[in-house]
Amino acid sequence: MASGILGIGITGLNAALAAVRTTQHNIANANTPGFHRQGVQLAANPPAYSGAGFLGNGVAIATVTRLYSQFLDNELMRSQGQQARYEVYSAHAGQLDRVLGDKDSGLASALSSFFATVQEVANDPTSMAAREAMLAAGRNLVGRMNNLGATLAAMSANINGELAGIADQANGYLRRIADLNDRIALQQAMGGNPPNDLIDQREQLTAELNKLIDVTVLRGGDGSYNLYLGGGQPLLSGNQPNPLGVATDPTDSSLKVLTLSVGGATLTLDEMRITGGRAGGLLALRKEVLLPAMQELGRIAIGLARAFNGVHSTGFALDGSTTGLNFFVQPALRNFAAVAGTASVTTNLTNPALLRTDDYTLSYDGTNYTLTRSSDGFVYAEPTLAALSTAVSLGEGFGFSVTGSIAAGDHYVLRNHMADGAGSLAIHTDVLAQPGRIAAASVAGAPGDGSNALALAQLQTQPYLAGGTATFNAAYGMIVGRTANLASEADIGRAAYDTLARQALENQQALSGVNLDEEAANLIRFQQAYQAAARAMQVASTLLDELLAIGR
Amino acid sequence: MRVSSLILSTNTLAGIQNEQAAIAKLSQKIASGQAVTAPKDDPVRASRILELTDRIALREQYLANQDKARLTLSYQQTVLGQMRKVLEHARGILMGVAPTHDEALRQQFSDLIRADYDQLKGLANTRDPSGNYIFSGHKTSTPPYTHTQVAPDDDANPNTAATSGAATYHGDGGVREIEIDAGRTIQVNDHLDVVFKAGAADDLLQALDQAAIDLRETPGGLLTQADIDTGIAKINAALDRLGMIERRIAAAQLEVADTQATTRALLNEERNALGALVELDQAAAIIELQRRQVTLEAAQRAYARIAGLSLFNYL
Repeated sequence: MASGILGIGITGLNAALAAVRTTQHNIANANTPGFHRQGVQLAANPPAYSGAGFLGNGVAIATVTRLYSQFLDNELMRSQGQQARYEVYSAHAGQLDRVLGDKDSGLASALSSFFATVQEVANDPTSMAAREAMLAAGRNLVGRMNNLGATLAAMSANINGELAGIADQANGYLRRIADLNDRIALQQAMGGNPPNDLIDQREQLTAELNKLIDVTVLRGGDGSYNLYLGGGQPLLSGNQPNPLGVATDPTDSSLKVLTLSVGGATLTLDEMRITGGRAGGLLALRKEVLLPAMQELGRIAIGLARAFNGVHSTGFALDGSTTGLNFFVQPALRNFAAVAGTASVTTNLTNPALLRTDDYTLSYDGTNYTLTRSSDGFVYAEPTLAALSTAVSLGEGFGFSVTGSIAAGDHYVLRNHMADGAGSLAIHTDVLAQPGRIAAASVAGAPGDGSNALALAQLQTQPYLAGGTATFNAAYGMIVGRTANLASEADIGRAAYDTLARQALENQQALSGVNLDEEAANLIRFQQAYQAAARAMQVASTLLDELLAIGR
Repeated sequence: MRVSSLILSTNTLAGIQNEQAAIAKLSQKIASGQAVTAPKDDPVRASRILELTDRIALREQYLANQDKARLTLSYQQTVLGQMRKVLEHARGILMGVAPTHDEALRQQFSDLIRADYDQLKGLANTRDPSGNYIFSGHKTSTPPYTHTQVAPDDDANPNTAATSGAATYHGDGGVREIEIDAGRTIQVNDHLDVVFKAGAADDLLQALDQAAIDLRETPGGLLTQADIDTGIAKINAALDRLGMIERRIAAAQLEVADTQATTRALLNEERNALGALVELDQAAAIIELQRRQVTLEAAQRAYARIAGLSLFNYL
């Protein structure tokens, strides 16, 4: 039949129908995310031999292809992953930037007003109005500090929640990709032709997954499709997804880290190796912006309380005799976390001026106890814990004491040790609601003496923090400046990746996207092809009629 | 290049969104009048603004401190000026009186000296507007001077020599200071006992009281010219010492005034600098807003045109 003239017409009809159908499919999916336009590949049928040579046998549909470039799709996926990273980074950094820099929520004006009221007490130590004003400004300062501490802690908790959400969502994508892997393998085995739409869906899900956490795709020659994380951990092999999860950071219980379950074992993912997607953005933001801001803000609170109390406690209250009073509740440093070991290591503040925004590891090799500073790897080593604590307190502003014993090979980590400072600053009950107990006088029995208040007021201009290089106001200014710079960089990065992602999309769409005008033109072309094939069949039919007429 | 329908519409859309975001930001700036709405918009400028704001707040506090110092010093200056008048008045009376004057006249003089004594004691126990004794050092709630007045001693026997007792100083040597500039303080109270010498040989209150007593005593017998001369000498010595304090206060006032002039000038500079950093160039912003509006409208029109473009319209 195929070699018959009617048969050739039918092949033409079929080819035109398939082409129209594919065009309709393209039009229908013009707005489907991840869809690559498809085209019918036609091939002439093997010819029939005749004495005069080969006679054509019509057309066959070789296959339906999708217009796809792995390079362009990879570029698009990569740039969208980075876009997602910068988007979440810049959004959070911008929020922090606004909170810290705002006149009404920031610390700068509260610090200035507080010290101004201290000056007024120094100028007029017997004035109850001045003392009330100083307590009120102190409460305002503490309120701002607590509020900032709480806002930053809430941001950190939000990031924990977002990481858990990302793990959940990524696991959903992974299950669907694993399912698609199975179906694609099955369908490909059945017909040998690629199931284009399923492949599109798989690529699209992978791209969405990559916006959450950066993945690497490895395509095997046998059509296998495996996903790996930036650090090389297998995320999906065949139809076996390894689920992501979150766990409490063993070095800082307030933080969550991403984990991966591989064959029953749970791995903690190194945040340095997660560089893209929302997860990469959140982890980088936490490490580069949020935690340093919490540390530095905590240092201001801890330093302010220590410096202020140091002067205040030597002075005398208005009654002329009460002394040794604190103005602020001294916020404490965090304690070491036992990563390996059973002892408990508690810190004690010695000199806030020496406190650094750094992390420390305490360990024991059987001979020496060592404390290593993470930023530059500086090591304190002493044969006894007491000697180590003394050495550390002279260099880092805090000492420590150990309950229990530290065995060789143990290690204890101190991270973000000042991060709770801002949240725990308070006015001390020594002076709370008792303005007369502000110790304005340096000597006993001298109500008119404001010299201690003057010494307190002068703390404002003393470079006290960061090894005697920064006043409290300047230290706060540095946090604002640092956050603003990082937020601004993130904005620039975001704008750059917005453009890159748009260009990558443009390039990818130039090849794979549907153009409705083009499809309209194709429709006309294939309609004409159909009409021509039908007309050819009509001609074949009249030819047969002619033949039949001869016989009549 | 092949352009997909998606790109055709989203590209124009991206342009519209960008312009809208820029316009929203600009109108926020124009409405607030602030050049920087978030520190990240210009981190360097934001840091400078923060630093300048801190510095201005501190300088405004110094300005308030200087006013306070000026007021405190001039309050004291006024009181000391009154003391000088009183002492000069008493000295004038003593210089005009002689043991030979008749009793009625001497009693009149004695009454005048007594009034001077009262006024002087009152001045020494002056309180500032907040009720603090200004000459008690740090013991500002304690009246600094007590002295039991003996004059007029109109007792039964005018021929008995009555003696005035010593005054007592209840204050301390506390020095009150006000910070008028970073690390620079000025002394705003003075130790009046340098002048009054309570309990010492030339106790001023005692001397005046004694003079008032002496003037009522019998001439030739108990009142001598030497007594009067002693009184005058003590007042002169007190006036000398008072002068020292007055000169210190004048110098301190000068220092405060000088510092205040500098603070005012710097504050002015810093406020101008802050204004230049904070305030938005409204004209430039409005022109930019108009320019962006034109671009936005063009993008919107382009979008409307493109949205209507389709070959299907002709099939």
